[in-house]
Amino acid sequence: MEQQHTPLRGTNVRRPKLRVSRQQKKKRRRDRLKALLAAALAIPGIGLATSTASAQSVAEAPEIRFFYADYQEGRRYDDRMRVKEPIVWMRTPLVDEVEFEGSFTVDSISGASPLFLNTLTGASGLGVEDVRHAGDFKFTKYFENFSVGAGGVFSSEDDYLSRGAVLDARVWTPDKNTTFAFGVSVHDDDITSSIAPDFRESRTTYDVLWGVTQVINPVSIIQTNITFSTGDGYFADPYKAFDNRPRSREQWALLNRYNLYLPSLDSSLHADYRIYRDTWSITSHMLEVAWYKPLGTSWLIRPSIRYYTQSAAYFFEDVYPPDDINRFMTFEQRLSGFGSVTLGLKVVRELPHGFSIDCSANYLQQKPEYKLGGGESSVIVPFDATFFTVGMSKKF
Amino acid sequence: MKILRLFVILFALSLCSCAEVKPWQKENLARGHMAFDPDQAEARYVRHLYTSKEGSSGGYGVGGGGCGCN
Amino acid sequence: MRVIIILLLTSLVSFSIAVAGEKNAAAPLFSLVSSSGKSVALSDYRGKVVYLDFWASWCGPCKESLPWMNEVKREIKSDLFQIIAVNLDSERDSAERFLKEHDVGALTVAFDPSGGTAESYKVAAMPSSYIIDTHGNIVASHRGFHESSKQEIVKEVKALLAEQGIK
Repeated sequence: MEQQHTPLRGTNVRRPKLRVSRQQKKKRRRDRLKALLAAALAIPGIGLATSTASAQSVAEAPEIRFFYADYQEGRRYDDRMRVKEPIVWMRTPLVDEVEFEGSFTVDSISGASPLFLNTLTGASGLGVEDVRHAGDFKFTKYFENFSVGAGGVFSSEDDYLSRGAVLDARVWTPDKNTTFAFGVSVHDDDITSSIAPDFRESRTTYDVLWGVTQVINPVSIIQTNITFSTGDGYFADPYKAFDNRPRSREQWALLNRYNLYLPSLDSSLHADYRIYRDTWSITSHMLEVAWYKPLGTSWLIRPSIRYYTQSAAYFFEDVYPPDDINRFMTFEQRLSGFGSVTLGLKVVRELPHGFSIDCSANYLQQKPEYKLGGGESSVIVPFDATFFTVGMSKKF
Repeated sequence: MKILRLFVILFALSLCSCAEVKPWQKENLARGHMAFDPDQAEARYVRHLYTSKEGSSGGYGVGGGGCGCN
Repeated sequence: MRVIIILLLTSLVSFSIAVAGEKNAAAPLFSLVSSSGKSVALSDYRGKVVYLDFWASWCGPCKESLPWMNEVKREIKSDLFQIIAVNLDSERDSAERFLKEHDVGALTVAFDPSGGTAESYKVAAMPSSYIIDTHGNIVASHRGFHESSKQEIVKEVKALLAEQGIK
């Protein structure tokens, strides 16, 4: 396929200007909080829930992990996109039943995304070379029957900066078989453009999570989380031509996770299913299954498979060039209809003194034909990618 | 909202008719590979990867955003 | 935002706390077996201050609590103070492996694989421990094992021994 480079990028496409007064912005923000609150109160009896881990006591000892992932998209382009991502993560108990958890990463993105239809992991669509710094941290205090946590998250690139704050809480029953989780967060994003110095936009997103984790029997546990996100501001891509998206987005996701231990096979099976819907008309389903199998006393292998399908955003444009430009539209592949499959295999080796090393190989393929119910597109370019990871952990 | 109703039903189900598991019966649940995200670095990586390649996100926790994906 | 936080806090307060093994209630009697096959019965410990601990090989904090208990017993040499560590592993092998790897010589280890004794003490967390006085009553209980527990336990035990005239 011919590489279509920059002539269209940064072109000043005339878009319908939505001038929103400051008062209207404030009102919208208030309305969103009201909606969030109403939603929070709609669940009877729960005040609280939180994110993934269902730990009910402070970490016993510090733990640190170094992780590195190398991602490469293949075959379709001459300049394949490559992302190298080292991550450092740690968790440690502090004094007085307080725990700290944090991570930091520096992504290096290289290789062009030549088609103006495609984009990269960061906000930047140029992708000749880009670096992203990101991190998160959280302090959690554990009490007899509940815990509370507060933290922050940030992500920064040449033309994008996001900062967020998170608050979460968990309560569990005395027998610790049921845990309720509740979390809220707010993110403020600033978007600029390295090719248009006067361009400056922003976006604010509020998220809420409710979750329940339930021990079913001595070998199985289930977790159900529902998240709601409401965003206001700039959602488009300044590097893309013919890209004009709504200035608001509400998203719902329901995730079910189930872990089952099989004593006869000394393995555990993990199955996650998530259904998602948003106000851009995207509906998606995700099913991920992983098998954890210890081998001997110090090895573990984990094959995994992930299937994902999504419907296109209502304003996804499938015809190039578009006939009418005075409406919402995008050629962003991420918002089109497609399915994807990922296969992975991870190997872990425990070493003495609390060390362990691991590596994994993964293959991902995304194409319209994999969409549930079938799909095809004239503008989407299917892609595949492989990513390898290596890691090392130390538990003190 | 349909999803909300589904969640409430699942939540109600999750509380009833579960065997009352005693603390000393949780040996298998305590295994490292029975945790929901045994590898926190990997979980962050893949969540970010899929959020940047796909049109949906969420479900795992709050505050994991800021991916900058448009 | 503020309202959400207030809601969060008030909901937190509304959850009640259950207590495992009522304070000042008679400690439930039991008769278990030790590694060597000898009988370990609580009735034999009348007149002594007993620190009763429920543990398992797979319980994280137990890796720290058992060696620490051993230290405490070596320090408080009095015969009026005894530590009984009741193991709750369903497989004896796992427990024996753990005992080999840690110094627990000063403790009396008993086995309760079916969990019947743990049930009678309403054990709600792993590990759980109870301090029993010379009359056979529970005077204190601890859920889990924390840094702060260590000092408290030693204080409670020493206080009981002081009543008996032991320093």
